Amino acid sequence: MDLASPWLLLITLVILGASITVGILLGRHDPAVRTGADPIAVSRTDRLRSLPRFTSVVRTRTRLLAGILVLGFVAIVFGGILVARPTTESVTRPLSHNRDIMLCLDVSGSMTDVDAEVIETFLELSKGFDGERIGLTIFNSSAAQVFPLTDDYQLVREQLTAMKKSLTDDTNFSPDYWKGTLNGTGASLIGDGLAACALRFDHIETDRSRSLIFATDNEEYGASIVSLQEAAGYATQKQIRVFTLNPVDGNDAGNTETLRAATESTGGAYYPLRATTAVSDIIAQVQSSQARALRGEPRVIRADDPAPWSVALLLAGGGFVVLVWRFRL
Amino acid sequence: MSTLLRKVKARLFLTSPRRSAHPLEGAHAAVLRGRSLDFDDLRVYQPGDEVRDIDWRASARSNQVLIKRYIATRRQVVSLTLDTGVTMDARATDGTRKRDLALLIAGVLGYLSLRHGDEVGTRFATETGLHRQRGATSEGRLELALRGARDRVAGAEFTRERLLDSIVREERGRRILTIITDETPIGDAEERQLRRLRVQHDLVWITVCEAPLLETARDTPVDVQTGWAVPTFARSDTALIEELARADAAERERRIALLNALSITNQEIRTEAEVVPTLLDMLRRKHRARR
Repeated sequence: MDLASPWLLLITLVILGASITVGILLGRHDPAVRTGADPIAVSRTDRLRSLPRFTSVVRTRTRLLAGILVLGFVAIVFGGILVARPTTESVTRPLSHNRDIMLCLDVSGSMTDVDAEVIETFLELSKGFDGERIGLTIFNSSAAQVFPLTDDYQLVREQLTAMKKSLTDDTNFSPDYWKGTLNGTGASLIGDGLAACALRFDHIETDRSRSLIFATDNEEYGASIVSLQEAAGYATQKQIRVFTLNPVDGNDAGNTETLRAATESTGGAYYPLRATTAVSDIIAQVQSSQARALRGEPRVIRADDPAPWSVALLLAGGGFVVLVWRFRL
Repeated sequence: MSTLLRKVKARLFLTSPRRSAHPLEGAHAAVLRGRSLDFDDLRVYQPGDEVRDIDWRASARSNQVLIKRYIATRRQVVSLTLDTGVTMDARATDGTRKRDLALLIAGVLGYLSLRHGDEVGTRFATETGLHRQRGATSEGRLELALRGARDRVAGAEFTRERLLDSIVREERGRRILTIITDETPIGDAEERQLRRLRVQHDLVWITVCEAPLLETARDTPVDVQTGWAVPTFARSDTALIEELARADAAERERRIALLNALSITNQEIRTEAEVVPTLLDMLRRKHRARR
């Protein structure tokens, strides 16, 4: 606990001390001087004072008055503390949850397993999400949005579950999820796909972390509208970091290098997938690197914290008033 | 001039209508005022009585020889001793100062004694010393003496004990000693003095009672000696009131028992209104007791 203006408490204590002094000085006066207007002359009051009951009555009275006084003093001290504005300090490292994650999956036939694994991972991760938004866009020769960036985790889970099922279910020849991805000519038009996914990020003006999980084999057939570099440039401009998973790393050195360069130009990372590498591990890496990036500087937060003192003042002051009223002082 | 005694007379006259209603019983004023003509004043002849004392008319009426008792044989010296201590400034139940009540009692007794033909002496302490006057036989002298006692407060060294001591030393011969005081407990020294005085004198102890200390309604009781104001919380404590009442009752019992044991006629006076009837009643009882 800290006081915003401790000198106010000091002033309260000084006033309290002064009033106690004045009270003691006044109390030293002869009480006979202060008797009411109509005193009744009596005699031999020592016989009253010598009664044991009188002694006990006086003792009780003294204790009661002392208690009331202490209660009053305590109430005043509490009041002084309140006037001095008690504050609490807390150190926080703000952990942002304002992340947008776009899953951008190449759904050409060779990618099915990887996609299923990515989706599986995110299905797991979505259970712990709080504030993050997640979206899913798939592409082949054309890009199609399965669901936009959303924090409706129920929808996310439903969609991811359906997606996973259609990806792993061999009985269904042409599952729904492919719809809209074969409208162009060619296959795996990754430039178009990346650009389309990057375009899905909204609220560009707000300060959010944007990342794009880009799973592709980078085996492009056909003519893209935008090249991979152009799409990466666009993503960089929008402060989107691209994390690429490539299951066929090294098949084509030129392609691989292009993809790596484009990925790293956005500030993201390139992960080659081998048989031994689990997608979930990579995504965990992505998550933690992002978490580090998002974790802010430790900040000291000062907040007024009058509640306990208010309650204490209420109890002490209220008790004081009630006792004073009850005993008609 | 005689304002004090006029007050006494006024009170005495108040009882006079009762005389016609009850000529023989309980008419206090009549019993005392008409004493010289009363049957009480006559007694049956006994050998040795003087022939000239025979009340021939009364004897003729009553068929026995009756002797008229001389007033002179019944003349007493009544000594009124007034306690004028500081505690007498306190109030009685009806709000009268105990001091004034004592003076009224002295007035009534003195007046009755004068009417009775007795001499009345007074004795009280003032701020500077003891005042005594012996043998007033006129209302004027008594009035003067009582006026002298009015509003006088005894100095601290002139205690009741000192007053009694002066009686012991100074009063010669048989007196009817009337001591008018308040409820201050009778100390051991005073008790010894009383034991001594009762041998010589006929003692009457009149106690002027104070209002109960804690049962006053609203006003603050303040001690006349110390100036100590009884605090409100003490006045509202029922147990304390009861304990004080018990203590006071015990003290009263002790006083009455002591005075009775010493065969001292004692009477308590609480209000101004009861002064005359109570005193008359006391005198009647005392008269009967003496016979």
